[in-house]
Amino acid sequence: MKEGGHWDKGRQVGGADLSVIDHPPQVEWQGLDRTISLDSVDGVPDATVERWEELTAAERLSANLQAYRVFQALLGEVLEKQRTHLTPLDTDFHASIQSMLLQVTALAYQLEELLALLRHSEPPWEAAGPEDRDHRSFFEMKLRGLKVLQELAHWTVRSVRDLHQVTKHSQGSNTAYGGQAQE
Amino acid sequence: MRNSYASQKTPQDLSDSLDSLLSYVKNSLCKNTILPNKHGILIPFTPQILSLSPDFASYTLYLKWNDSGSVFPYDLDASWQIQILRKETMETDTLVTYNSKLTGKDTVLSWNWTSDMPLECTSHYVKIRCYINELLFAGRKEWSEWSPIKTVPGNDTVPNSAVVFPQDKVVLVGSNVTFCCLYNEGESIKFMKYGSKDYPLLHLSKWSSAIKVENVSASIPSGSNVLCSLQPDNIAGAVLFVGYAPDIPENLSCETRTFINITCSWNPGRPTELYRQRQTKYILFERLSREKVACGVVEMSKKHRCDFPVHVNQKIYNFTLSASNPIGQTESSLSIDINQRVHLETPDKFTVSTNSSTNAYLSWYIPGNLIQIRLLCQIEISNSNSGRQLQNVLVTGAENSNYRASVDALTPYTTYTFRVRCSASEHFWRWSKWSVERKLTTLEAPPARGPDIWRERSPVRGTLKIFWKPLLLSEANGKILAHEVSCYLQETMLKAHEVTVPLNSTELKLGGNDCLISVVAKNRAGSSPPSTITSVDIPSDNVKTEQAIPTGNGIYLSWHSDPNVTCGYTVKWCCSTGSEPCNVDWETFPSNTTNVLIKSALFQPGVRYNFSLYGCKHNGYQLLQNIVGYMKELPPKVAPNFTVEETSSDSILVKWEDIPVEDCRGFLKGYMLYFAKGKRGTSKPSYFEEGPPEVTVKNITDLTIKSLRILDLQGKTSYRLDLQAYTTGGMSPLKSLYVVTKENSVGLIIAILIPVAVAVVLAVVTSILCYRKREWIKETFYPDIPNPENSKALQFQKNICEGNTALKTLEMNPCTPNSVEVVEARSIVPKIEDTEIVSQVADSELPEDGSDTETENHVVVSYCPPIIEEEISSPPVDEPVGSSQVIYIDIQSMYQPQVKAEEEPEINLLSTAGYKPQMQLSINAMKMESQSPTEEDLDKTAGYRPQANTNAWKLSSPDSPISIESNNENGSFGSPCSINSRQFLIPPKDDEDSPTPNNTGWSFTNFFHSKPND
Repeated sequence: MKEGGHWDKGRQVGGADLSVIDHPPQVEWQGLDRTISLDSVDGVPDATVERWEELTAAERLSANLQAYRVFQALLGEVLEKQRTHLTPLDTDFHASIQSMLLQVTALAYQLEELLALLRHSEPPWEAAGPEDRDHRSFFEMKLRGLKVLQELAHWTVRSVRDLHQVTKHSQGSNTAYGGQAQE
Repeated sequence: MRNSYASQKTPQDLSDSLDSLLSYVKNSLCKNTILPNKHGILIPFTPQILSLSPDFASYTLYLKWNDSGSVFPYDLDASWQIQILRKETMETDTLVTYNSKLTGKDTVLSWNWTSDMPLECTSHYVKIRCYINELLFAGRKEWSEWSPIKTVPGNDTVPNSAVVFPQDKVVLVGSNVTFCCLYNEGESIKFMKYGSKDYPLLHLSKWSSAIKVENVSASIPSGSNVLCSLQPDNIAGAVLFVGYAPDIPENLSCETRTFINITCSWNPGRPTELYRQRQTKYILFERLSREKVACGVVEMSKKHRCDFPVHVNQKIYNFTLSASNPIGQTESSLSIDINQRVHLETPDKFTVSTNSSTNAYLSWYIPGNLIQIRLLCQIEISNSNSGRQLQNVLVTGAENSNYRASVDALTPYTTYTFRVRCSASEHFWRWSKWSVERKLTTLEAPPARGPDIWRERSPVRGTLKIFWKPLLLSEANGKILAHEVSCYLQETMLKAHEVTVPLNSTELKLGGNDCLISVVAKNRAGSSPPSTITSVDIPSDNVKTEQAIPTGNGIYLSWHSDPNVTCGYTVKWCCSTGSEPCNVDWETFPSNTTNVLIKSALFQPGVRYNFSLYGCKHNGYQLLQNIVGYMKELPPKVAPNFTVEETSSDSILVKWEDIPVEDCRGFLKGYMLYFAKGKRGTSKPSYFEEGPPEVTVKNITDLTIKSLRILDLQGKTSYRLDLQAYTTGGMSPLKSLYVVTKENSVGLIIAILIPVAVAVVLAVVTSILCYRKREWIKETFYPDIPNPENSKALQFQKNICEGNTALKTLEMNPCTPNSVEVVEARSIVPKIEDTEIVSQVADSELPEDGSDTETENHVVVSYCPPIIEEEISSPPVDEPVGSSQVIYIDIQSMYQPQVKAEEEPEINLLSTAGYKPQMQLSINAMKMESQSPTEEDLDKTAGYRPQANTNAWKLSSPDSPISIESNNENGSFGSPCSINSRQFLIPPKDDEDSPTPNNTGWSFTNFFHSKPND
């Protein structure tokens, strides 16, 4: 029985699969309605930020990198829970999560490279990852999995914007720098 | 107890006992006991609950209390009423009665109760009371007071995060499940859902509500969700797994392969729909050794397996396989003797080898500690020629050992395929799987026999051609490399040479000598025994050629036995394939054979084969008979070629040619000749469509006949001829010819001449008769015309002819001839005969003539009776009045004169010429005087005026030259009056001197009139 989300290998932004947020709200995720409130789930990086326009390139890239580092751990957790408890037979679904985990890892690596390229300092690894309680109810596992995937989708959208912004700034500074050099 | 108690006590004793009881109750039992009056009311003590403990997982409350039985000196029946209340409002949920026996000593009683909802959902309250059922007590017995309430508090009593109960529970499909949602102060519940469906809320307490879901169906692997949505924005939820208890394991079977483990397998039955932690767990338990093994099984596999270790010195194993999951547990048992359940592993490392042409050695490995059994192994030997053979061997079991066997009686130089399988020999249970296949080719051996040989004298003198047949694979015992051909004369070898394969014939030059020929086949292993044949041919004379009988799959030959044949018969033939020279083939038969069925894969249907039968006599071979035959006869391939040699008006001579032998494809039996009327171009000859009556069929079975004359045909008729040959195999194609027979000229001539002759004779006879009877004919048909002068009929009177319509021409009217004046004007216009009155009007009516009407006198030829113009009303003024009143019209031409007033002078002139009929115009001199000639009048005067009432007649011809203006006066030609008058007007024959009318028109009368002149 296939009951995982529908993981289209479709639109990809910043290396992450956006098909999750492309689903219409009536799609159920392991019996959960997509309209369900996930505010109670904590430990998942939130893509929303105040005064987004005022962020510097370094802040943007650092925030992205930190988020994707957390998502690496979260996706691993989600995959393990799905394999062990929730969808033991749905190997296709597991393969999709695995694929996404690889893409998130690759994106994080590229962000590290970008930070180094732009001579920004890399944010430190946060020692404490997401809280992994010994026992979560199955319902909490489902909610957490849904929240992780949802926020990951939001982060991919934000990353696209952030990277656009960074690109714009860097081009501007390059131009300025070039202009100064000419002078 | 009670009975014994009653039987042992006397009434006095009873009274004492009761007193004692009462005193006990009164004094010592309970301070709470109420004894209101002297009649006695038995009110037991108020029981105390010792403990009330909940098991939240199973929703069970365990209740314990002391029955205080020691206060009674003897046994008593006691009833306990237990009340369970719950919710905030402490509604009674359950009230049960529990019966026990007081045994004279204190006993702790326990009772448990399982709730239909999680105990966390709300607080549960329990109280208990007692009732002593003492039968001997005559007074009123009452329940005790309720015990103090014991409470199991729910989770709704203390503020906590929102939560749904039960969490992660597993239930059986079809169960009813109650879910409750606990929430905090300040929150309220919006809805609760199970799956996607909202359920009505049951209020439990201030912070707890529940839903009841009935008859739940199997959930998805990740479970069904219960969702509790709270106001403001919060949710809580739980997952419910719904599935089935495990089925009893089906077809449990245990066997050992290696004597190391016993493998049990079974069919799990219906899927439980529960996975991972919730899936069915199997435990294999052996009762004798009391050892149990947890079986790890693959969830989705249809066949589950579990291994149990073999114990040394234990033969019998009693297994119990138990299956359990959170919903239920089942089990299945099996007892086995391990030695009777041996299913060996597949033989491994299987090899075959040989060092001879008939033996093979086999070796294989079987894992396992098989020391205590003997093995029965089956070797399969298969070969493309001999098929499949099975050979059983018994070997002693060993531990992880190789086993060996040998196979003999194999055929040399043959490839065999071997494989092996084994089982326990004493108690057969199952064969192992077959090992892999191994191929082996045995070594070569010398050929088993010499080849079949034949010899033929070649056309070249002194040369003998020797043939031999290749040996069968089973006889060759190897690959034949060459044949050695030798020629012996009285044990002296004259010649010898070796012929390598693939040649299967050679030539020896004997130079007129004869010898014994020997042929030996050789392979790597050696030479075959020699095959010998003499080269001597005994001359034969008068060799007949016979026909063989085709059988469809071969050719049946028969011959007469020859007593001189001592060493068999040889039938030799030659099979030709295409353009290559034919392959000599032969078969040899014993001397007593007189018929054989020759079969060959090379024989083809419809092909003629020539067989030669040789007899083997003591001094050589003699040709006895030639035989031709077909394996199967077919219809001739082509139609016979035939031509028409000769045709006449009633016969056709047809000739045909023989069909070539190769096209016959069978023994020719005859020809069928069809002929029928038919023309080229018709799609089918008529005899195919219209059946036998139209067609003539001739069956020619005498094959020596090559021509046929077809007789009794019709002249000048097209015939279709079809010829086909036939064999036993069928009819050849048709060959068709179209022939037209010649015309019958004599008949045609006769057919023309006879009618002509008849016609001539008839004409002559008629002429003679007519000539001889001409007088009679003339009188009969054309009597003499009487003299008009003597005819009264022509004495017309105006009043009679005009006025009386009933007047007939032939009526003899009393017209006086005296009133007719005949004026002879012949002298004046002597040349004009048979004249007509020509008028301008007449001219104008015939303009087409184009003739000059002014100057020319018209002679109008028409059928017209003589007309008496009654009113020639207006003669010209210069006309001499009364000089001529009568108009003569040529009686023979029967012209109607067209009289016009203007032409009167000419008319007069004309009318004076020729024949003058006996008509008289009653001259109306008065009219001439009184009437001036107007055109109208002139018109009126023109045209025909019959001698009768013209009104009664109608125009008979559109050609009538009648003026349109002349209305009723106009008459019709051919009035009966005119015809009748004509008869009278025919002049007599003797009036030959009368002027002959020179008439341009034809008249039948002319024929008779002119004839005498001729």
